[in-house]
Amino acid sequence: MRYTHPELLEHLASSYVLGTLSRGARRRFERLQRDRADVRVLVTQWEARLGQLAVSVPAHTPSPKVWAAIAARTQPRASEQAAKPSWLGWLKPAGFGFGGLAAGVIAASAFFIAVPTLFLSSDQLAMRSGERLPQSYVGLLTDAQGNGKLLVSSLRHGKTMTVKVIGPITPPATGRLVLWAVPASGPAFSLGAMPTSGSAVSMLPDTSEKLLSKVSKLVVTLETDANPAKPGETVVFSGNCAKLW
Amino acid sequence: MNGGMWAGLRPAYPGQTPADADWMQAFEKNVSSAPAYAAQAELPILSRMKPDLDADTRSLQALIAAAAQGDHASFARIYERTHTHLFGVAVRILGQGQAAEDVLQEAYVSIWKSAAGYRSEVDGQPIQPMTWLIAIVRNKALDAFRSRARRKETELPESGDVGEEDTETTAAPAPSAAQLFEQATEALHIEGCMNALEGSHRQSLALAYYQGLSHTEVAAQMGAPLGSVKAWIRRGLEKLKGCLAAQGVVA
Repeated sequence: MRYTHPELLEHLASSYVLGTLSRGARRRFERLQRDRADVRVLVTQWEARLGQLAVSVPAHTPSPKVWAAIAARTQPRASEQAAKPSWLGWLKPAGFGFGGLAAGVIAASAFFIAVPTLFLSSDQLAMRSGERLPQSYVGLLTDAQGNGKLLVSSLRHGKTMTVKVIGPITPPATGRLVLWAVPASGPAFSLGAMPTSGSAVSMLPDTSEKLLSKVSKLVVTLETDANPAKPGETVVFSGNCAKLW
Repeated sequence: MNGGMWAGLRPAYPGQTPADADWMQAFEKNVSSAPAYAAQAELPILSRMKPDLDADTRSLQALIAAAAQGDHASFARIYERTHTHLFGVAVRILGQGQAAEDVLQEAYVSIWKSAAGYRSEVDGQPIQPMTWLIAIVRNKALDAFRSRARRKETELPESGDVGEEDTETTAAPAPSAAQLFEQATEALHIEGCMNALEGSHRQSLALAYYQGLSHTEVAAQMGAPLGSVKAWIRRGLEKLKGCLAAQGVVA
């Protein structure tokens, strides 16, 4: 099935979050989510909507053993101690099966190592080997004193932009902070409102490559207009837009 | 904007942010068992791990950010603040028992592992930490529910069928999906908007959300044709989206 129709994606996202998809359809939609940032955004939006309905769900208290089990699995030392007996017990009856599985994994790994280009691009190979980061556009925005405030990033061929607040930002009393891309020549264009804490992800109208290839600078301005056509005079943060490849 | 409608609610714990307060207040109003909250103060493991838990004034968002950095004490604090609410979500779908507790365990392990993946804003829309946490628990509960052999219609927890264990901790039978839906729309101030829908539309949406039923299961539960139920739920979702946006709760 081709997942290009916005109405279909919206319907699937709402059904997935509501829980009405069958088990198989849920799995297929989860695979689609992994590959499509725009689908993940739709799902998150529906999670925000339907999550509101949980306000009326009565609270219940689980057994104290639940936290003990969670702590054992999330605290390294505790989990190591707890895992030893279960591993030994599991390995004995699973010996033959595990041996076969291991042989298969080794064979597949050998093939993967021998001819990795069959599976991955050179860029992906470099990323996996730790030689380089994925091709991205990145901007580090600072205030007038040079303090880091925002880290903006977007995969070169992706359509999502992630913004992470890396330094304390005082929310403006009025208006909002808006990020602008400033090309070397031509008018600046808005990339959306900025958070003042945490991190945010937003959809871009096109791929970063098409939007940002000629952008050299990023600025954040304080805007009182709901849809400003050009950057206001109050520049709060600024930084260069760099190509990470 | 998001969560603003409940501004000015009293804090449930020191340092609670307005967004946290929205959820805590709303949940507290619907707690069916006082022991659920009383028991929060009796988590010896948590107390040993962080004796000054009550003095922690950080927001859920800050705690998630700290957990993403590997701070297990912050993770314990997240559990302390949210586990009864999230367990309630799992219980609604799976009934009280081992399955719901297993889901809760898996959900918190997932929260610990994926805390760095939490985004406080998506496409310009604020995402409350509780929204993110609920989505994790609900997805795991739905997966567990789908994996389980389909229960007979009479065994579905629509009429408060949550097992003997539950009756020991609740003063009254669990509310029906329709009742929960009504309470939620009232709390969100969208009851008037949603009441423009026919009762069957609201009922089908409520059954799907609060019990995790699939289209087929909702149709069986309501004794209605599958095609009709699919259309009702779809229209219900569209209406909900419109009502929430009109109320300024979620865009």
